[in-house]
Amino acid sequence: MDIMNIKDRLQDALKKVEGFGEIRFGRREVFSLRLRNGIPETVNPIIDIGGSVEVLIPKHGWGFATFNKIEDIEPAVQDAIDASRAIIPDEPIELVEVEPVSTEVKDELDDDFHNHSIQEKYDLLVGYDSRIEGKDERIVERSLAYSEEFSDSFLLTTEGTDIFRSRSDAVIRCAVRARKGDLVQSAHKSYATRRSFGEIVNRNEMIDKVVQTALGLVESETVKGGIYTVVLNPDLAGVFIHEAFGHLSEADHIEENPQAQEMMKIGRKFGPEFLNVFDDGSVLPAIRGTIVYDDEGVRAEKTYLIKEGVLVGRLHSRATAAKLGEKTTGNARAQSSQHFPIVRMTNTAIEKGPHPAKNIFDGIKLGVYAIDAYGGQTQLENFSFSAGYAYMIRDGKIAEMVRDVVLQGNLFQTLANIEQVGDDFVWDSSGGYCGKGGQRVPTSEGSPHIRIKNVMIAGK
Amino acid sequence: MKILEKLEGKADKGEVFFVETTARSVTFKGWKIHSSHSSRESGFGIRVIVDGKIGTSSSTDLDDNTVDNVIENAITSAKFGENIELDFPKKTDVKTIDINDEKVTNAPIPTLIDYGSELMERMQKYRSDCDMEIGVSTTSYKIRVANTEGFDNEYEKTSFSMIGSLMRVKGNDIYMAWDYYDSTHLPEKTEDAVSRMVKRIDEIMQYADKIVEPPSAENIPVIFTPDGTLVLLAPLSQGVNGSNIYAKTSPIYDKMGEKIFDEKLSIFDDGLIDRKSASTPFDDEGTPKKRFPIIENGVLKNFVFDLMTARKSGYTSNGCASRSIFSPPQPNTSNVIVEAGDVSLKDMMADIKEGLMVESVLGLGQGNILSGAFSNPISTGFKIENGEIVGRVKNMAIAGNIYQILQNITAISSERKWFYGRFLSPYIRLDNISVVGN
Repeated sequence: MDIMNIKDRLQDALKKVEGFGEIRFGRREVFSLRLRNGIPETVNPIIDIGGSVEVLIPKHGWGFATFNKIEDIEPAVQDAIDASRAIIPDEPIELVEVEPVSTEVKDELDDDFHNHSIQEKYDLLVGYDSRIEGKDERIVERSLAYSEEFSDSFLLTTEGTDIFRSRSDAVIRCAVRARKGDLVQSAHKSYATRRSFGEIVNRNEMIDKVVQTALGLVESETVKGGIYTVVLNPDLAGVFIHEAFGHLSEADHIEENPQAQEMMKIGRKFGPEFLNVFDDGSVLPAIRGTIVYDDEGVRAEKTYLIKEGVLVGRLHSRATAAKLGEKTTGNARAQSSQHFPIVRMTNTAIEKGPHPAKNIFDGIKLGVYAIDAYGGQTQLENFSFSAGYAYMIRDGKIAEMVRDVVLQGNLFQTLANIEQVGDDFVWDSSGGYCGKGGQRVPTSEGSPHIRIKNVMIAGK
Repeated sequence: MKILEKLEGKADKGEVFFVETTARSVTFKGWKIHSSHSSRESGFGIRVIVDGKIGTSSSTDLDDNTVDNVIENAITSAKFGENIELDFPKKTDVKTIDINDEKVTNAPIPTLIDYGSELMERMQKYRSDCDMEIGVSTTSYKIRVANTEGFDNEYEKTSFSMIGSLMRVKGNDIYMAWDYYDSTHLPEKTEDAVSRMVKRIDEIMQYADKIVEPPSAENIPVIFTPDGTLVLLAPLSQGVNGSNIYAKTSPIYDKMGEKIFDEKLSIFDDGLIDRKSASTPFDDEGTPKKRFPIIENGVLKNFVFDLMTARKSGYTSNGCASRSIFSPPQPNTSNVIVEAGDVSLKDMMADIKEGLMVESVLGLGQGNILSGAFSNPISTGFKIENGEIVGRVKNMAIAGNIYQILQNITAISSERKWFYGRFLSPYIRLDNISVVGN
């Protein structure tokens, strides 16, 4: 179905709303292909169409309804109105005023994924798989996956906003599990693009790196626990700033949590003067977290969160900005047209710093070079992250590989202990998602290499 | 069916699964209504067999052009699919069961709010020191399954569920109490559902301040409450799942017909019980539902299969295929019924000098439960002394492997309770499981 055919009907349905109303409607085509040990495990093309309506009647709560059939539009609007009326919050929900926008935002593709057949994508995975198969008897499992998603959607509001967005994503993923005796270790990497199928075709280096890492890990020893000077590579530094700091900057979290309000006072000194952190949903050419307009129709922008070591901003929806008396930042995002927008990060980064990256290991007698993130947990200011893999640093040089590197600490102490921020900034290119409130949205993280003293590393 | 006609000449066999759902929900938090949501969704998934290979595709867009795309997608998918022979069910009459209540379908959001408000009213006495959460939701389904072998049937089904929970935080102590109501029908009287839930919550809350010393011995009798038996049922449901049978990853994949548990234990899968949430006339591939034993007097009688896992394991499907629009079928249990024993709970407890009663654990289903092993901190558990519950215990954990500990069951109670809408269990007493305190 061409979604534009029902736009007028949606506009009409919105007219019934007394107060604020927004309708988003979209169509997605998703294709996923996965080979496990060379055997096709998933070959699943799907088409998903649907939308939602949000209603905020003055002095009442949010009403929300989803639908995917044309004849359900009017009943869904009625449900959302009923739902809004049923809720009376203690404090009225206000929205910061924004100028209505009428525009189109489309990903520009040099080489459209659509123009390549499933056979071609299958052959590509088989080709990558054959680079790994039989290479080493310690390899016990190989997994290669390709996925692509095309989505077209529009956003209409009772205030007159009318935005059409078109987005294309392709991701290639590789995971390898290796075994030596009883020790099993895995490594994985992914690469995402919104520009060109060509970028997916040329990933031999990534595949080889995954194999090399998995084989390195089964030969390596567990790191000896202790306090070290640690150098984080850009991928791990980016994930660290997103998970340990970025989520605390989301205003919905601050609004609900008195402890977070205390912690996140604007003007508080967070780190050295060469530390700058920002979120920017307007990065072009588009990377994973680029949105240009958020799901409330607010233009995304570069928002500094830390400037010269001091907390200067946070991320907002229209409602959280109104509540905290701050300006909007364009960070209300929804997983799809059938999800309610909540405050989310987009592309979050530590800005390029003054320290030459080539000298970042200088003077470290004994330290750890931690590379890539394998997940982690945060609870207010406490964090715990696993590195994908790591090397010891001995006398200023990279030495042997070590595994099971878990970095732990307190966010504020750790930020204050940043000694160097490198000059080699890079946006990560992996196919990452961020999960919150049951919704996952694509995000990017960026950073140069950073060096932190006195980091607690759990190990043996 | 139009889609099946379009498949003619393109595929050797085909199957269409169509679902339409309408759902409404309200939640209460912090002692007031918090949010409300409604959803309407329809869509279909198809499977085709082309040259002996299986292909899948699905869509929520029912537009004619899209349907053609989805068919082409499924046929393309089959080029890369697995080689498998699937015998889709033939034309058949299906049983009628009482699982559809128009009152559920027609209940507007304000009605749901009334149910929630009444429950909240009855929980008010805990307001001073507890936080609460209540959820009330309704869903109406319309499901149709049709295939090229002549099966074409549909049914309508509704569900109504309520959950009420309390959380009390005092210093480092977190204590929770909750209960469910779940049926395909609205309760005859609101009061019936609400009273039952409040009674259970009261039973748990009476021990909120009665924290007692943990039992001194490690080898003590443990009684699992009906809700607590999920600790034992979760590993078993993995162990009998068809996906783990053909892959031979289940420890009991080759134990069919053998006595693996105590003879007191009988467990049935029953997809035909009136007014129960896991009941349907046929499964998501069209295989009729039935009542069949999984365990009978301790003997392994059946695994849980859909068409594909049954075929790969050399069995036939027993009507346990479960799917959604976008994900192809997989085996799943229907209503799980543990048969009652002949001892009352009171008698079961009478001779216990020092023991434990387990209502819920943390991290249920985590770890390698496929092996039968479980190891969980107890979140709600009570100490039994001289046949009576004397208070609740903290910082204790239980561990064991169901394939060992269920070989010797001390007693199964005559009382039973439904929980999570699809499980019916008695109290089960085991005298051989490992209890750890710290």
